[in-house]
Amino acid sequence: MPRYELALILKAMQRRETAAALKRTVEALMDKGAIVRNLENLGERALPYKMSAHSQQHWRGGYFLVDFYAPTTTVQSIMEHLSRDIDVIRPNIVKHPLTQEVKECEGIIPVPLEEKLYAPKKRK
Amino acid sequence: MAVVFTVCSGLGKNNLTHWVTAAVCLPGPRTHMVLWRRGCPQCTPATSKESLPAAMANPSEEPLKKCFLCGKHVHYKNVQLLFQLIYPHTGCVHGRQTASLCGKKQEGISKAIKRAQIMGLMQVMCKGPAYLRDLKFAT
Repeated sequence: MPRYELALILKAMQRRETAAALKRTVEALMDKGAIVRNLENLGERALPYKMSAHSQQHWRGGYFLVDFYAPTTTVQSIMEHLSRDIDVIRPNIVKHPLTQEVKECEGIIPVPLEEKLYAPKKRK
Repeated sequence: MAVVFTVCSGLGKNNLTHWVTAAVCLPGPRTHMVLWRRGCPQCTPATSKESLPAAMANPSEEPLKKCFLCGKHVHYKNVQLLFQLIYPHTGCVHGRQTASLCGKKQEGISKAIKRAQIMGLMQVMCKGPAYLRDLKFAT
């Protein structure tokens, strides 16, 4: 099963409600057949821009990262479930960046700038 | 159409056998010119395979310069690096020459910036207030 990362932004709430929302989310993930590996808290901070979700505007939010293994077919249903949750401002599932290999870079290929000085006329 | 003659003289006039038979070829529109001759034993033909220089890559060629991100992974999460590759007043990404990055890393950076902006980790039109005092990348 490929490894995914869920960047979750929750509403700015009290500690008890945040814990309940997280528990709900992780249980939903596990019901769909995902294996949750780790849950990180990036803290509660001001959002970069005003976000509106579920007919409410938010300026502050709690950032959380969940990395989990899930079958490929369930990713869409997880996203639908999270978008229906009122406490979630913005859910985003992404392939885990650590699974991607760092390819060897050849280097900066020198571009002949004299050729670009007089560009050929574009044909319509 | 061309006709090529190569003549190599022998030792004496009488030794007619040493005279080289001419090499004649009549190339068509797309055939290569082919030279063949029965040369005399005294003279060494100029186009033998051992004396010609062998084709090889330039040995004094230096390896290409690497950008500062070559070999490193570009994360959408390290917002500080992404903010350094952005014009602070407009929010536009630096071009390839100003950022001095190779093609792959430049694409990776622009994708990471777009991702971070949409996921709610990075400001779009300006630089984040915490990172305004960072080193300026390019004026």
